[in-house]
Amino acid sequence: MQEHDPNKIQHHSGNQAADRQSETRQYQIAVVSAGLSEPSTTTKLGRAVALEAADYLQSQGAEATVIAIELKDLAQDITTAAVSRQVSPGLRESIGKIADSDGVVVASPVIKASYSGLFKSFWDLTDPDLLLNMPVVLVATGGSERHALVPDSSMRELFAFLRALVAPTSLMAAGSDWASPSLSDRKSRAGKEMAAMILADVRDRIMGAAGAHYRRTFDGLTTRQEQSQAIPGSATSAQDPALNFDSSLMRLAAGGRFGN
Amino acid sequence: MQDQTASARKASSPTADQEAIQAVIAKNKAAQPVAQPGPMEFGIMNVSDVTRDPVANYTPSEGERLTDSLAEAVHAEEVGFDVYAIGEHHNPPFFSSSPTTFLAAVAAQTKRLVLSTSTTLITTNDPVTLAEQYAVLQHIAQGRVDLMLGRGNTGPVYPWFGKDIRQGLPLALENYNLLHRLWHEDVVDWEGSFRTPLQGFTSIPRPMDDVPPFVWHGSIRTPEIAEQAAFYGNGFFANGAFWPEDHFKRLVELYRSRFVHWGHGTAQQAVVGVAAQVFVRKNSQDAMREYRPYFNESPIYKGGPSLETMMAETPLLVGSPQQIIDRIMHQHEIYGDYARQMFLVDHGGLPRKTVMEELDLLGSEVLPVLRKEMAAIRDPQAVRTPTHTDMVKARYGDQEPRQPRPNANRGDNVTGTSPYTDSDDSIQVRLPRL
Repeated sequence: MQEHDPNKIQHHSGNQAADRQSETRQYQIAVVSAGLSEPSTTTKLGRAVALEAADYLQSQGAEATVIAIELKDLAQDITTAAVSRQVSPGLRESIGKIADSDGVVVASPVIKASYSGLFKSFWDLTDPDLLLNMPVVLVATGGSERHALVPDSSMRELFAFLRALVAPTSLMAAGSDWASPSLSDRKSRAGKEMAAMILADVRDRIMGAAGAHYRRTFDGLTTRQEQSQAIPGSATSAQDPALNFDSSLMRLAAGGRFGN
Repeated sequence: MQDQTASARKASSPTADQEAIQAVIAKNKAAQPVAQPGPMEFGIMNVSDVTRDPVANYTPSEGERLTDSLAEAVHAEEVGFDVYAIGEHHNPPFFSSSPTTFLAAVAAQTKRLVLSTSTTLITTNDPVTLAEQYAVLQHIAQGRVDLMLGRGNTGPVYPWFGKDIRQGLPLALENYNLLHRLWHEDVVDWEGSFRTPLQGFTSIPRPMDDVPPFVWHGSIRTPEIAEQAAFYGNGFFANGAFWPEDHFKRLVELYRSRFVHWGHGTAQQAVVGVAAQVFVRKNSQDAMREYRPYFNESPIYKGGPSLETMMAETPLLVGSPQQIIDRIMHQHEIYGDYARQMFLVDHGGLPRKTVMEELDLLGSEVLPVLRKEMAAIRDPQAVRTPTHTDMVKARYGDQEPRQPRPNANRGDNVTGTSPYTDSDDSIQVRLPRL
């Protein structure tokens, strides 16, 4: 893994094959953790998976940066946003970082038989498109081995709803797992699964093949390259790349008939 | 326009589709632009909430709020506003279930004010009823009418009117397509997904001078609505109030770019409207002190971020006339030149006396400065909202406008293909089989 070099041009994602031939490919992996203590085992396990992915990307000749988003630092903003429409600048910036990432490790402690309320409240606020076809690894930590199925039951269904590409291997660590070599094996496997999806450009390929078939909204939280940089009053963003003007609804909008 | 719509509908193959699109664009480009260069308009909008005044601990009756609102609309003209708009709701605690009735009363008591809506529900209203009611209002108000279409934000309203909220967007799009035809074609044959078909139907009265009211499409996050506004060359309204300040920027940019795409003119000729919520007092300390209890008890703001945060992040403008002016000038930095700025001044239980004082202060100290400062930075090509006169001129040039006169009743109340003395007999209509 390498530190971010400010002199190099960063292109985190998007189909920029031409650039990639002449430059080292650079990737960003975000860890979104609802860990509560400091330091937190939840964040630690999430970060470990991200570092495995970064190591693998590096072994394949790419560069990778890992960033961490600690939801406890945003807890007040998340609560405020949950009861009003106001997303604070800090929260907006964190969501923007996820949008700019190529893979996301999501990590939560298990509380009352599921991921934490803080974790869910955060994803409740994000744009429905934020994780669309995004490679994601599920990570949970808990006080008892009886929570072992939380990543593969509760978490997997949440990220299926968000239309993320969830890696086949997910992680759950309870007290005794920290002494087990199998945790380390699963951590390595999950990291490599995500790295392989990133290297194969799976997200861009799916968006290229089927991107026009998703319903999109303008909730305004997803920054990414879709955001128009147009000057007010100008028409430089003539064709928004996220929109398909041939969809049945767009045709209906343009005077056509629904369903035709 | 009806020819273009019809050809776009018929197109089946991708090539035919492209040809139809190009034909629409060419026709739009050849047409006389409707919106003319001109100044910004300023207006008052009322969402018609009946809210307890938390300071006086007094809840006005529906009747009180109705008559107060009527007086406020008339006063808006007196202090120099250009527009007054009223919302539409079908549940308590709101009063405006019949906006055309209310606006007709305002029309009778004003001379200059443009009457609009904020918004008219294009989902749960029958487009036929909308075409009829707003055409009557347009005649009554002698052309001082436009309307703003929205989907509405109250879920249960849909089933009350026999509609399905999951079909909200296609409903809005299809209903407007029909409304557009009802106002532009004397006789309509129509079949869609959400309403009983129409055969040989004429919406009466025909719009004043056979030129329909100007239409705005309002949306919070839906690109299809921006596309529909752009396709027809209508206005796009971004209700800034209650939302982060830059939330609507992307939708407005999309609307402007698609307006250009469909051949209606330049991005500067696209007609954009914006709203803000305002509480104004002579000095900012009084404004903050007086408004805070209303903010804290507001059904919209209660439990959320502080007054200070909301003022910083959304177009909630609380302060002195100069502070209001500065913040509205900032809207120009976000959206570029736009045609209409609306102010929400009576929301959340503010009493009539306070609202009237606000109107006085806005009229005497805010509007004159804003008009001057906006004019100074405005592109000379930037457009004003099309007036009835503008639209008549674009349609007829120096010719006399058409005044439809019905043919004699044949005794069956159905006039069929030729409802008017100047109707084209060669157009064939499929009349309903009895």
